Amino acid sequence: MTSTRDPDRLIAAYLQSGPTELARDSYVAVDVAIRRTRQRADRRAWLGGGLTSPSRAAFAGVAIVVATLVGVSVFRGFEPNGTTVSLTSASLSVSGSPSASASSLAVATPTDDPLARVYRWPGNVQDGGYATSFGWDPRFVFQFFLENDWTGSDRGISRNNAISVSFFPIDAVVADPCARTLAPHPSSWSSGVVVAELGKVVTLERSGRHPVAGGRLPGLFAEFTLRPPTSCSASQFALFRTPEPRCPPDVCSAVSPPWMGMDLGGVATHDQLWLNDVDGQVIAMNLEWTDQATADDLAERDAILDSYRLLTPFDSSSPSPSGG
Amino acid sequence: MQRALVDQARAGSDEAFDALARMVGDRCLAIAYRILRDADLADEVVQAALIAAWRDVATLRDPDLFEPWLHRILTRQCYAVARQQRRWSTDVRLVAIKPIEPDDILSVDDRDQLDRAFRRLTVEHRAVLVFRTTSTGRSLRSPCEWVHRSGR
Repeated sequence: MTSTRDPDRLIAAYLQSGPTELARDSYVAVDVAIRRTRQRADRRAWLGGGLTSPSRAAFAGVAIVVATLVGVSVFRGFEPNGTTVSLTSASLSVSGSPSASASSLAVATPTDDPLARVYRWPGNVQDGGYATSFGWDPRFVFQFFLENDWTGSDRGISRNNAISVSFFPIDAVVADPCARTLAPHPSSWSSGVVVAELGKVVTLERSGRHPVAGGRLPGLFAEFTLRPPTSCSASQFALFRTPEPRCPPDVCSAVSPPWMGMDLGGVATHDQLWLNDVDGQVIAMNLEWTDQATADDLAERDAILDSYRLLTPFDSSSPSPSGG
Repeated sequence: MQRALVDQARAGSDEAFDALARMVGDRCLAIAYRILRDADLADEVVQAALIAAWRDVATLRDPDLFEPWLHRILTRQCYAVARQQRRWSTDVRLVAIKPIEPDDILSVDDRDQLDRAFRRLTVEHRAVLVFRTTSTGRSLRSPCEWVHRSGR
């Protein structure tokens, strides 16, 4: 029989009941897990214009993007399971209806990286590491590690139709996004030129150099917002022209149009463009998200940002002064 | 000592984080169990929260706030698990077959009534109640503010 019927005391006693010691096996499980989980870097230092100390390469537990320039055929060992690949002229919008025959098999990594596996699109991608050229120059291999509900597309990955991450080389910037007329392309092509020309067609909210640390190459970033165009459809709208994708004939039967624009359809999006200069080419990673992106979606976006790396055996070139 | 371990963990020491986990794990389990009222789920949630904390500890600005920060992560994990559980819940409530220890304060009837009442609360309300009755030394005005800052 209780000595008092004080409700607070009863509730406190009730809440204090239950297990009070975490099982030893649980600590062991955590210990094992953290040894294979990479830490996120502090992106605030990253975006602040420089890291105060060299940062560790970190997977962030969600995604890592590494563009690797390799000097061997990236299609060596391409068909680990005997399947073939074809790229259809599917819409670049990740929200478009996928064709049943639209599939792309990732190239096997030219290294023996145990993380790399086959990447297919369109469709959900299983958690794990991937390596793919997305049909671009086979000397580029974008390697990334995914968790948590990502969908693969021909130019990158998306999540919940609220965030997309795409990877592509930039051949030219448009002067008119709907007409797709091109801005001048100087012989000294660089990320600085891209940012300068981009600033003439969109309002750059922020731009600058991104820091060099932990294996990162010099580069630039730019932030801007895209609104649904009024003079053309979202699928017609383009900001960049890319090189023609290159696939061996026995691998690719068709390629997507060489334009990059609004990846998430005709809705307003926020964009963060990260550029690196490699061997005279400008390589981009574009993060794009809508106002419908949840906190989880944005956390996934930040994880990609924290972990982005571009590795190359070629000499890096310093970016031209930012145009923004 | 905890601050030193947090600093080392932020610098990438998994041994330091392991030691931190052992310092805070029991308390996390108690909190998670009080919110979820399921020992197995609470154990899973604590593991997930610790792993998430390891992943993100470099973003922690003030090492002295490690434990409150961890509790926020833990609470979010509890919310996520509770949402999943709701999708699959039925009207059948499993009753754990275990001896109920005699209690100076709670009779069997009291415990049963409180249990049923607690389960009718949303997980967010449970979290408020748990932190209202738990002394953690945080300098927050109210548990509602704390729960709000957990992003719910």
